[in-house]
Amino acid sequence: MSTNKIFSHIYIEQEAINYPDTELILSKFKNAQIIEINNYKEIFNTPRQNWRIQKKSQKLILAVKKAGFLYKGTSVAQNFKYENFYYNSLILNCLYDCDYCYLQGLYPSANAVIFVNNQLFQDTVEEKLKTEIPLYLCISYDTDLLAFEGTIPFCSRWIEFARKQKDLIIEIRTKSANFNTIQNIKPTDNVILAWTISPSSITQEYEKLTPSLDARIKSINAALKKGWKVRLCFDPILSVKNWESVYSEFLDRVKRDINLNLVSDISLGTFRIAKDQLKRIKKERIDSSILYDNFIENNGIYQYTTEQKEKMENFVISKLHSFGIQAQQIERVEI
Amino acid sequence: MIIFHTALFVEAKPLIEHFKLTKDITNSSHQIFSKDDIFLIISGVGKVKAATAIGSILTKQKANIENLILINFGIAGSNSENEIEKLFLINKITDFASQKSFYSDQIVKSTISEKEIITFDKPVSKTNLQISIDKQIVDMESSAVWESARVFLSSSQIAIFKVISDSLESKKVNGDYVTKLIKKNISTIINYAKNLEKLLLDTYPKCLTNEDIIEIEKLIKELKLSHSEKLKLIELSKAFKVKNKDLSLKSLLNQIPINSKSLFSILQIQ
Repeated sequence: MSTNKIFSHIYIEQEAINYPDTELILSKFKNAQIIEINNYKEIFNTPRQNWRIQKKSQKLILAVKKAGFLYKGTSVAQNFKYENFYYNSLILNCLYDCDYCYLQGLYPSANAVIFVNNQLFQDTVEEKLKTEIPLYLCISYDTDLLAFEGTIPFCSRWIEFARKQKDLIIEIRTKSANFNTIQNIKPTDNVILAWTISPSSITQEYEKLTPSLDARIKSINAALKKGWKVRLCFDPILSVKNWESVYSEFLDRVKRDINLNLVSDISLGTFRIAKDQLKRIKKERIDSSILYDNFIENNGIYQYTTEQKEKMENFVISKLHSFGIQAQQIERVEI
Repeated sequence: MIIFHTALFVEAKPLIEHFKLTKDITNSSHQIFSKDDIFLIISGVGKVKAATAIGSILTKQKANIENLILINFGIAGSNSENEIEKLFLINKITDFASQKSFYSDQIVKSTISEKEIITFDKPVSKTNLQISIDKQIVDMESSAVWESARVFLSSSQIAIFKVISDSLESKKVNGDYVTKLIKKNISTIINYAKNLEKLLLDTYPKCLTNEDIIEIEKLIKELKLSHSEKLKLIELSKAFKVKNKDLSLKSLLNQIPINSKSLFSILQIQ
């Protein structure tokens, strides 16, 4: 039994129809069934949707964002010591299907929403820059923006935007191997390309639909070669069976294949998730062993026991130190 | 389990014949037919009758609600003569009275053409139609089927099919003709329904086997577990099964002394 292809159906808000980005996206999905909607929330936010089933044939929704163009960062993400830490949601949901992804517990639908009025997001950041500088902004927060670059070139646009804003620092976090889509853009110092990488066995088992570790490393090296600021993210570190040897071999591989002297910094954190989100995810993803660990609750966040968390993070950090990585280059998540 | 719904008996007849369904004579409020895991309910025409029928049959099947799909099929009208006798899978339903729209998930791959439908409270014809319809078809039940089913089911568990029987002329459609139209398309509808059911069951495999559930129920009774302890036991049992796919819950539980403290700690460390 087969399912429809990804984006076989594109739902478009009536208000979004005449935006140039709508036209651009539709030109890439000429065979898609187009369905007009009044408001993206009438399809995206309805209760009782089957996330796992929808992920088998993800649909695309094109919408006009009305409010919420910039959000203050949360404690679950790293702020890299920037006081003015913000994120935005240019796209809701992701093309990948990671077992541990909080988006499964955050959104009622697995379908992707692209907001076609991107200019308003940039206008909001410009306004905020008048009062809060330097401003640290994650633009690939509730999605993987680089993975979508072939569909909508938001990364390229925001890189060019950042080039003109000297007090803005942008992080584009990704698991994608799509560096080729931005390779012709001149690097700029205030944009950090942040790659999340995990051991191959974890990528294969728990990061479904993502590019392989090999492919991600190729993209990382291509970015470093072009002179981009690159951050490596070992996040989430998972307490899998034999995690010490799994992560030891992985870190040796990273040292062997990536010139760590060129990497700007490294962020790391063990698996953590809001209590309510985990509850919702477990209803949908009933067969993933990493969701059934003996977590402890800390301020509404489930995480490994303090002992386990410390043990795993210290293991990775001491390994990184042995590679000559300085403590100030490593950022740990503090909840 | 697949539950089919139609408004009219003449629409349902080909399905009854296909599955050799038998009538449930104990039900006086609706005509219900069934065989094994296939059910059919016939509601009568209109939104209220459709919503009542759907609510009634889904309430009865509450225990199976996560594992069933609901298929509505029947005739509809179209402004286009060219669409007469064609089968459509509905992707958007608009209730004309409330102007609310609903969207189905469209996950299963199929060659059936898709269409939007508008549901009216009264029969409509070209002469009394208050709006211009070019890409939609019309009927008198779909929005009610969708709204009442969505109280119980996810959007992935429902599909609506319509065969065009008339081009909105005021003429009454002959019953034998309706049966003929549905009969021509019933295999396609059944095939889609079975694929949708398979998708649902494959996507959400049962974590605990029937043997596991019997074992858990036995323990709950023997240890007189409270409601919260019961939930904890189910959660820990699921965790055990996910982490130890090849091991039996029964064999593990049979090794330990029967008291709730040892039970929870042994499950926790697995």
